[in-house]
Amino acid sequence: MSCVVDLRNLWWAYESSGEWVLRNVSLCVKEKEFLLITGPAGAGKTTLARIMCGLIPRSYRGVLKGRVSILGKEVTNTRSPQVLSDVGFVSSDPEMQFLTMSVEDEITLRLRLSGVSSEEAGERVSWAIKQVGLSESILDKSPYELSSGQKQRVAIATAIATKPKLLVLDEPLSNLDWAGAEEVVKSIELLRLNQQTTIVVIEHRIDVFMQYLSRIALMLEGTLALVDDPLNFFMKLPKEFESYVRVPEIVRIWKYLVLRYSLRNENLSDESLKTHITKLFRGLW
Amino acid sequence: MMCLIKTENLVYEYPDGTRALDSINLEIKEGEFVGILGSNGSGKTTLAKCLAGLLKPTSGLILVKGRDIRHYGRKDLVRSIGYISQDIDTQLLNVSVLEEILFTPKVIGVRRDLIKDRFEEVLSQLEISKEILEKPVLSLPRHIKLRVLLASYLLAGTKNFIVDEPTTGQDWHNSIKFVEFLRKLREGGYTVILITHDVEVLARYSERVILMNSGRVVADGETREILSDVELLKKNSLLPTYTTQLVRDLAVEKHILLPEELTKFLSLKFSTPRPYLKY
Repeated sequence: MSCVVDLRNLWWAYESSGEWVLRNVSLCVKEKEFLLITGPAGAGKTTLARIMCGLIPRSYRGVLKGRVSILGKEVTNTRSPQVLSDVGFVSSDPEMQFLTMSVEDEITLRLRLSGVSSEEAGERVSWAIKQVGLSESILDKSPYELSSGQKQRVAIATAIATKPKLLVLDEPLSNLDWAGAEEVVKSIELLRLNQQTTIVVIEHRIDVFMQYLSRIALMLEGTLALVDDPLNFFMKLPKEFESYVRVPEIVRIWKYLVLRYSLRNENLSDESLKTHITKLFRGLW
Repeated sequence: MMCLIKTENLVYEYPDGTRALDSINLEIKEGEFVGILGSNGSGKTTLAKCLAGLLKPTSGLILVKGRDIRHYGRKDLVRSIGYISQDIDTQLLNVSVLEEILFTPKVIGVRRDLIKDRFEEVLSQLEISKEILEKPVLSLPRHIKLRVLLASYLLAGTKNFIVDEPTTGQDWHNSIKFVEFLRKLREGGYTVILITHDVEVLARYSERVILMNSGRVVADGETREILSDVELLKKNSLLPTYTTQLVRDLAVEKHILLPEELTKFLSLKFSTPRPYLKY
């Protein structure tokens, strides 16, 4: 299968600082994949997200080495105004994305820009709002008046309304409580299942995504230090990197059992964990 | 321990009439580590701002060390309660890190030689590198901004802190590091009131939790009791920690009591339901 995002030996430095922010990054994100990228502040995660949605090199000045191909289009070294219309992007600061004075206009504008007819736009707006767990009463409100959690959901609704082939989300959960986060994560997963969307999400909170993820990547100082499927990612994670990653509780328990009771390292789920514990601790009641 | 904050029927209404806080009665003692927990829009931040004297209650009373908060001057109050906002950029008023750190103690009127005496100590306590002192404070990552504000309060002699969502929008490493600073301060007798929707953070650090929903206090008590109450948390749009759910499910469904060592290993000492553990 071809790569939706194909990065080969990619280097990037912003003109303003001149330092390499990305250093020799190679990555292939496959169709329908759900990839989570994590890592400390300043590791280059947001820069990588900007590359994936075509903002770099289109809207930022700097030096790029290596190859970038997104949805089969070479974007290396082009500063053409070509819009990657099949890519949805949610920035970590939703307010930066808002351009209009009502939620409805906000989503409609995005839809019209990507060529959706005005008749269809109405339907899509309702659909997108529902997907992120908001009610239609919010449509008339100004996006700036909303709570930070609602802003984040509107930004996500705007990005998914066009049913993009690739959706890149930069810390989409930072202002959401657990219930809100779960709802948003489920709607992203539904989009992946129903629309075959490839998802790349940058987040520190891994646990809410855990059961849906195909792979997890750790970025450190501009490089991809580790990329693997969730269980192997945590099993291989070197001790010195552990503080950079918010290891989900389920993984910490699993890892503990594997080491302490020499369990076999197999697929990790709530059910398999309970089965193992039942075997280990039966009779303690 | 002396009572730091006491509220009586505290009500706050926004100008449009929305009631953000509804009859809040609570008491926080000096030296406590208290978590104020609640989902988005539960009123946590409004409560914090009232307690820090930044919002005037519509009705009801707030007593700080037994004195009506309305009788405090601004400087007096800052000496008693340091507030670190979620929108930290709105709180940073100076250009350089150094100016920002010196700002609160200067405004409060702390003597220059006293500031000088403690400066190095506070910097090393919060691991603020001297190399950043001349940098523009707004250019720094959020976790450093948090430390800069905290340093400023410490030099001003503030001993009680209300910190609003210090762990959002940052990597885990730096989030936990900041809460660790707060924990250490608390061991030295400082009060920490931590506002968060992160159940796991409270499970690690806080002995007491005040749970809020729709502007009301719905539960107030020992962290372990509240975080173990799966139904209570879910009813208030919060998720119990995985450990809580696992330990409970195993006990209820499979009749298995986990050894306590497992929970110690997890370092979530405040989130494991007591009746379901084997000691």
